[in-house]
Amino acid sequence: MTQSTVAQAFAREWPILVAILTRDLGDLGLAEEAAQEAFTEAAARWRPGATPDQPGAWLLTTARRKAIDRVRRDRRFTERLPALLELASTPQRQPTELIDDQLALIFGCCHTSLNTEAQIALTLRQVCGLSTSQIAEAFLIAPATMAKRLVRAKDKIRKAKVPFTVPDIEALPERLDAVLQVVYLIFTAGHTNAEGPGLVRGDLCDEARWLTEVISGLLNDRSETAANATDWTRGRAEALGLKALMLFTDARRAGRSDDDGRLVLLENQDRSRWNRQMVGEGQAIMVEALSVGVVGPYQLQAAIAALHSSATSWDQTDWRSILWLYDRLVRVTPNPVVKLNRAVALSMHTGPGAGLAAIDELLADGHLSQYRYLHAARADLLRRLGRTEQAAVEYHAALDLGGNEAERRFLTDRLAALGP
Amino acid sequence: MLFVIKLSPSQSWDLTGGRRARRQRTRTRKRGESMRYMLLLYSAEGAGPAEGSSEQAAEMQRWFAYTQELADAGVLLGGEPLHPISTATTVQVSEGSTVTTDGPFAETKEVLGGFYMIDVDDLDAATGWAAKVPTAFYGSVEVRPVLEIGELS
Repeated sequence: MTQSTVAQAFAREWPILVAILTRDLGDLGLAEEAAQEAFTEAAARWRPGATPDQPGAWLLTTARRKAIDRVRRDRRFTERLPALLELASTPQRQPTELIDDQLALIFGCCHTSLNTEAQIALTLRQVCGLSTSQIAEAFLIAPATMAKRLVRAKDKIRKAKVPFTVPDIEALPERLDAVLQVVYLIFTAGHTNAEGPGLVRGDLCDEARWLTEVISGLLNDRSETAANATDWTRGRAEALGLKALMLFTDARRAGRSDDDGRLVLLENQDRSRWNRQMVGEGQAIMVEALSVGVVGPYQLQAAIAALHSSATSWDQTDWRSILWLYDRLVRVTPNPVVKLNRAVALSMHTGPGAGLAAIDELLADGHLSQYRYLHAARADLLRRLGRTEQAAVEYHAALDLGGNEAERRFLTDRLAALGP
Repeated sequence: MLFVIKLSPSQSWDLTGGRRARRQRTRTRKRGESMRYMLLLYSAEGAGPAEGSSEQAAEMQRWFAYTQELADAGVLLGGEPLHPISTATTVQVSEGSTVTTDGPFAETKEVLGGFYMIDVDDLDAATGWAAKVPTAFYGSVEVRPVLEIGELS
């Protein structure tokens, strides 16, 4: 039994197989089933020393045969049969077609006509190859709920004819934003466990990092052949920025909680626990991204994370540069959460009073009043200003808004430390 | 005010005939075949340019131009503006008796003001056209794929 050979082939071939089949069959659900069946057959038939020379080709041929069987059984698909039979004798795809097939699958799963939760679930299922129950587990919901979400999404794709194609060049920036947003959300879901005991679910972080590798690689390959190479290169710079951002953030994983699982703020983290290899990798990717010469929001966030990573301590951090980067980030993405982070940077550069004023301005504009991190940040600034009574009120407000156990314990400890 | 378009003879389409012709052609949708989408135009009454204003005249031109653009692209199957919601009557049949009431099906701020039926390649093409409807600038356009009768089997 060559479980590992099949597993290796799965890791490498799954997205490619689903991508080709989606284009061939014109139906995501059918493609997924055929790919799944091909791997099941591989697991049953591949033997040590008797694995196919070209596993990818073997899987594709098998999957196409499975699709034909399926189509024969289901009269809804009978009209597809002639085209499918013709495909069965089609030679392998050209490399350029393969790039587009894979990009089409990613852009399709992250299509803006689908809701964000569906985009995330589809990407993890179709591109990363996670099973429905694995995705459900990662998002702490019942497998049946996740299955329903996927079915509903595939149903809309089929009925509304959501295109699984590489978007037009005019739509590319917006569509690429959606793709990177999905990857980022997968990462943050893994990085900040919404509820439950742990702080980090590493598997989702790993999937997100793998996705940026695939996406930046594909965008790079695409820019080599595309007529409008700049647009593709620009997208690649942001994909690299996101990859670097995730590396810097993930490098701190071991430092984010203490041995008892308690949350440790960046301020108090033991920086020797940070993964220096990942930081170095992130820095190298940043250099590559910046060489493209088009700076976007992910690269700015990555640059901020890079400055934190290279600082020897919280006090020794280059707050001036960080504030400057936040100012640029606010200009590109003027959303309240970015402004909140800027306020914290401002408090470190100028003082807690200035930070507090910036946060109060956000609240006055009607933003983030139900956002627990705003109250936690405000509590901290009040504490630093010695206004303990008001700080206590804010810690309570933050606690009332939920969060995972590690975060809640942190806030409770801080509240207790304020004294009677 | 709701938009008002008078379709010129060259701009009128026989919806029923179109559909019948299509139904024969498509029993089940196949790959690479075009799709029919309904663009449902919603806006708050009074959200568009005021009646009799100079903006209204410009607005009319936008409607004509847009409709012509759809026709020139060969994707227009039909479309009509509707009278204001004050003219709506809602009918329900319950336990054999018909209940007819004045007013719309649901009281909402944004109301259905008209529609277009288009025939395009996929959802991206449909949303692309939806983004050009004048209503999209002060209301919203709901894009709904048409359920082909052949799909029901």
